Parts: sequence; structure tokens; C-alpha cells
Amino acid sequence: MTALRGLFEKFMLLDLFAGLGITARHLFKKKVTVQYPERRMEPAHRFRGMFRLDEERCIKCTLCARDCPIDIVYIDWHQEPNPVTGKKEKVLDRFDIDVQRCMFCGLCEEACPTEPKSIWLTSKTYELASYDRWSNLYVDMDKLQEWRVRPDYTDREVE
Amino acid sequence: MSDRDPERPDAKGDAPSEDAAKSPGGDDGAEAGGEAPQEDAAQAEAAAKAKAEAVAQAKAAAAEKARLAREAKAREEAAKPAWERDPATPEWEDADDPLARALKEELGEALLSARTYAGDLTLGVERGAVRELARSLKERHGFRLILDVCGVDYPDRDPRFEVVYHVYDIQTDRRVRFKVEVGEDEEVPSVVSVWRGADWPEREVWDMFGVRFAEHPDMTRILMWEGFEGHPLRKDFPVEGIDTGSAIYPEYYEDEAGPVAGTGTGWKPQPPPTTDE
Amino acid sequence: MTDATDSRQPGDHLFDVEEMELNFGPQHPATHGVLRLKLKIDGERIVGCYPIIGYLHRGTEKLFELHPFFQNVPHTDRMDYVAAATNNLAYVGAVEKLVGLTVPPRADWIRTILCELQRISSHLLWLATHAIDIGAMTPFFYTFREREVILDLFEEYCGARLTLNCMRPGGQPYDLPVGWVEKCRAFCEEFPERIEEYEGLLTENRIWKRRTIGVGVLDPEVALDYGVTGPMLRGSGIGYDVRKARPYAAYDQVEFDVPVRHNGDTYDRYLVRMEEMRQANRIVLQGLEKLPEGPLMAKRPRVMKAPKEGESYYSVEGPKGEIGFYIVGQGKPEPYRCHVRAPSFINLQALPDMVEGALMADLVAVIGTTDIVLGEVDR
Repeated sequence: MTALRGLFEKFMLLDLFAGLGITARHLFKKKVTVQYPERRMEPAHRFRGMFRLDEERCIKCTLCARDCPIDIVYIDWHQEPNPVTGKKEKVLDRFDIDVQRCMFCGLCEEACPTEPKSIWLTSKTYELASYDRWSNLYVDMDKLQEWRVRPDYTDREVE
Repeated sequence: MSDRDPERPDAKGDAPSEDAAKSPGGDDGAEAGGEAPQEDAAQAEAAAKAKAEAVAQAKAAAAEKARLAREAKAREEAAKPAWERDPATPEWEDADDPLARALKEELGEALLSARTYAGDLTLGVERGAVRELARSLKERHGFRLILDVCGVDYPDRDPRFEVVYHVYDIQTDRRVRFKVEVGEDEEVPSVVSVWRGADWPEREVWDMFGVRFAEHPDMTRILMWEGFEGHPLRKDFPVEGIDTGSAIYPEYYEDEAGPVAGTGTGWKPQPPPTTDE
Repeated sequence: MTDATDSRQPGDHLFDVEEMELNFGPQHPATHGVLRLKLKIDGERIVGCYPIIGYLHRGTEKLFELHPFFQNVPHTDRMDYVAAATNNLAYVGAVEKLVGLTVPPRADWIRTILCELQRISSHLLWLATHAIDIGAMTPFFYTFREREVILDLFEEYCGARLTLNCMRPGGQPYDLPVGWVEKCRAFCEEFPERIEEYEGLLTENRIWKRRTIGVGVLDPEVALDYGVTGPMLRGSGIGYDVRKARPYAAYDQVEFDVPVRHNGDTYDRYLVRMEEMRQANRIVLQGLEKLPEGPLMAKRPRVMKAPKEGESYYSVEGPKGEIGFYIVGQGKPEPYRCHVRAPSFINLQALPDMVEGALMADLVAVIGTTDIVLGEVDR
């Protein structure tokens, strides 16, 4: 009896039809593909995307530059007396980040001691492609503060 | 721990003030000595003695209090869970291990040292006895799995390199590390005949450090490309890389000629080409 | 089956018979990365195989010597880029062993959960690529759908999907966000059905069986001799798993089985990995229940320096085998030497042995079952 059943299974390709049955069921299931770029998914809150810098909060301690594993943060500052208060304070000359080599690891954000942080990566932006190398890939201080390009996300997260 | 303990912050301060109080007393005794010299002197002496005793007693009491405070603090520290205490750095200790003793008997003088660090048994062995030790570990003691062979460069030491082997015994869950010190142009006997899995790791040590292994079936570069000159993991090899021209291919490029590596890392942003609109 | 030491002479057949040297080049979709194989073939049969690696060598071990301990964690992500959390744990564990830190229990449990999720994710990718190399394209779509959920979980936890940077020496930098445990539990509860789906497509399928049973047989003695670990070794009958032999993180407090099969061929290794996914799922569910409260970071000095003369070797069970880190410290905040025992590097040595006498199509199946990641092989 089992031999006959074995022959039946072999010639009627039952194991292959079992597999086909699974794929056939998927024809009627909900599709999980998100049609990018018409609809986008919003990244998580902690997503490490492009940076933003806030010069006023920054205390120019250069801890972010020291902690970067690939040393791509370039900071220059000097001391000068503040015209308003008269006290000597640090002024930021240059705060450039070489985004070509950045791996978005987030160690600079972790190192920042101010509260709230002066450099943060949670801008939910990952669309950094550009047509030429020089426009978006070496971001200087002004650009970092003006990084406002953010696509529209859909109202709800796509399931 | 310093003498300053939190319970009695001015424990040290007490002693000088006692001393300061002592000396005017002594002066007074000397001044008043002119009128009734002997009685006053005796009185002054007794007073000084009493004072000295009192001072000693106070000091002893302070020391006792400090010791009790230290012990209380140590107990508090010990009661804290391990992650709230200061890190407990491991120390090198001499290995008191039956395996180490057995190997010492087998190899004798060739086994240079047997220590443990953080629970790992580390043996030091002479270059000539490597294969013997390897065979003994595999066949007599059951270390059939070779985990890793790697090299370390200590440029200040002589011999310069150290080749470190890690082996493991599956049946009894024991892991042993043994090291060989080897100089720049010396060879280490290969253990490929004992564990075939030492093949590629030994090639990597040759590639990265320049330590040759005798009787290895295929002693060629594995991670760097063929024809590369230089051994990258040595401490004097720069991180940025070296000239890819004559430094690596001296038979192809003339002196100081050829493409230079490392210039690409200083990329500076170029201004965009000006377009006339 | 013709054996390799064939004594045919050139004049014996109508045509001249000689071996061909074929380069299975670094750019090839079936090599799972930039692996180059120099093959000597006799018709369709492989007579000799010589792997050439180093196309992805980035000098990671040299880079480790430049920066302090915690800054090297992103570099470890990029070695086995498919299973970054286990790499992170191996490195961080080695540093903790060297310096003498003890990790708080909540951090241990979070690490266990992350590593097991990472194991599921890596095996899903393995299944996808292995099946598609052999010709079954459908599992690729289904496994990547599950993998997206896991990657989303990682994104919510540490901010990145693939190169996680999610551990530090001493503990965890971030706590689990609100709602993460529920999402993870929801995923784990429906995951066993998904595994049933993949198994329904492949396990009893006669085509799959004929492509994988008896292919790439690895003898257990040979495997041990080569230093092979992980599912490759467990498929050949030796049940060595670092999680059971030397438990780390919270593995001594969870119940799980280690699947072992005895034939040593590709089909057995496939079954071992499918079962490992189920067990990993089980571990994650236990972890989510038993997760204790508490601090996440051990007390550590501001500048963590290695001891004056110390070294440590610490290993974890990665999805591909035993990942080990050997760190030598010399009193500075940077490691003096940090060597990685990469399982794919050691497992790949056994490849020529496994494909000797096999057909070209079997070669592709065997490379898939070895589950190599060239980032780890070349570092």
C-alpha cells in the first residue's frame, strides 16, 4: 500500500504541487512592497541619517572630532571677546564633515556633552544622492545648519 | 586609600592643632620656671606627659575610626553588584594545572613558561619545539580543533614577532594558547601536518608580518595581491598605505617611480566647473 | 563516478581529453561576494579547486590599532556585515574580559535577544541566496519579507539596519524603546509559520533533495582538522556550540536545543540551519519574558585603558561559526593588536575538499552551504 502511495506521489508530483500551493496562496495575500518613491516609509525615531548642527548650543569641546572613528570631523575655533557681554568665548571657524566617508555610526552624537545635543543624526534623512560630487558630499558649517531637505512621508507608516 | 576618610575629614588637621597647643604650654613652663623652678618643672613635665598621652590616645582613636570606616566602605563595595564596582583587572599568574605539568614533563626545557591570564592558559614554547608541542596537544591531550594562528609585532623586543596559536578541546571544553617568539628572518615549523586548518592562518601571518613557516605546502600571500612587497601589519608599515609603484614592484618601476598610493586620501572639494549661462 | 586519478591517455578517445582551467571569477553572482576560485575541470567534474581571496581586504586589523576601544565597534560591524550584532558582541566581550568589566544583567539579556534576532536574519539571508543559487527563486522573496521586519526592529533599537554599532564595552548604550518588546513578540509569534512556509517549498521538494543530498559531504574528522565550526560542523555530527560549551551573555539562563545531523551533506546543513532559526526564535521569546530591569552600563573609567600587559581571547557563536577576537593590550586606550578569528575564513579552507570530484552545479551549492561572507574572510 505504501509503495503504491509512494508511486502515486512520485508520478503525480505531489511535493512540487505542495510548493506551488504555497506560492498560489500568496497571490491573494496583501503585498508588502512599498512603491518608492511615490510612497515612502518614515524611518524610526533613532534612525541615524544625515547630521544637523546647532552652532549656538555647541561648546566647541571637539569631543565629536576626537571620537570619530574615521576622523572626518574638522573643527577650528578661536577665542575672542564677545562684543555684547565682553567675556572671552570660543567662536567656531570651521565645522566641516566629509560625508563621502561618513559611515553614520553616531559616535559623534554620543560624544556630544550638551543637553540637548549640538550635533545629531536623527534627521531621518537618508536621501543624500546628488549628481555631482562637490555639492552634497563635503558639508560645511552653514550647510549643516541649513539641512532642511526632507521628503514628505506618508501620513501613516505603510504596513 | 588616603588618610582622609569621609567620616573625619579633619582627622589630619587634629594633630597639628594638638602640636600647636603643646608648644605654648612648653614655653609657659619655661617662662614660669624662673620663680619656682623645680616644682613647676616637675608639674610642667607631668602636664606635658599627660598631654602627650592624650594626644597619642586621640591619634589612636582617630586611626581606629579611620580603619573601621575603611572596612565599612570595603564591605559596602563588596556588597554592590559586580557592574557597579571598579573593573577588576586580571593579573598574570603561574599556571597550576595538570596539563601544564604534563607538558612540562614531555617537553622539558623547551616549554618556556606556563601562565594564566583571565582564566586562559598561556604557554610559551621554543621555536624548535612547536611541532612537537602541537602533536602532543592533538594526539595525547585531545586538542583537535585549531581555532586560530596569528602574529603580533613587538618592535622593541628581540625577537621581534610572536606567533600565537589557539587550540580547543571539544570533549573537555579547554582552551589553550601557546606562543612562539621568532625574529625577523627566522622560520617557525609549520603545524599544517598536525592540523590542516592552520594552512590559511599561517599564510596570513606570512603575508601580514613576514614570518615564514617551514614545510608549509603553499607559502604565498593570501590577503594582499601577488607581488606585493611589504608586510602590512608590522608597526612600521603606515596606515595610509605605501607607494604602489617602485616600493612594491621594484623590478617593474624604477626608483621612486610609479603611482603613489595615499594621495587619494587628501581629497579636497573642487569648485564646480563654471558654466556660462 | 570517475575518480580524479584517471589514467586515460590523450589518444584513448575520439577527442583529446585534457583538463581545463577555469576561473570562477571574483565578480560572479554565485560566489556571495568577491571570491575567486581557480578550478581545474574535466568536462563537468571538478578535479581541483584553489580559492583566491583578498579582494575585500580593507586592513581592519590595522585600523583597530588606531582608535580607543569603543571607537572600534563600527569597524567590527563591517566584517561579517550580515550578522553585525554577533561581531559587536565578540569584540566587546573581548575588551570586557581584558579590562575586567562585568556587564549588568539587563544588558546581557538585551545582547542575547539582539544576537538571536541577528542569527535569524543571517540564516534568512543564507536561505535566500542558497536557494536562488540552486535555482529556487521564491524563498528569496519570502525570507526578505521577514528580514525586513527584523531590520526594522534593529532600526528602532539602534538607528541602523545593517551596520548596527549597538554595543559598547561595558554594556548597552541605548535602552529598548517603548513598544519594541511587543513588536518583537508579535514577530516571533508568527515566525514559526513562516519557517513552515519555507520548509514547505523546499524540504520535501524532490528537486531540492536531488540537488542537495550527498553533495558536499564533509567528514567530521576532516572538519575538525580544518577548524570548521558552526552549522558546517554540526551538520557533520559534532555538536560543538559555543553557546552551550562556554555560555556568555544570558545563554546559560535560556533553554534551547542545538540541532546536530550526521550525514554532513548540504541537505543536512540546510536542516540544521532551519532548526537553528526555530531555536533562535524560542530564545528570543524567552528573553523577552525574562528581561530584568536595571542599569545598562557597568561602571567604567572615563578613559578605558588596557592593562599594562594583557591579552584576551573571547569567542561567541555567530551564525557562521565561532567568531573570536584576540586582543593584546599594552596600557594604552587603543588595542595593541586585535586579531579576528573569522569563521568564514577558516571554513573556506575546507571548500576544495568538499568539491573534489563534484559537478560544477554542485560547486555552487557547496559555496552556498558554506555560508561565507567575504567581508569576514578578507577583513
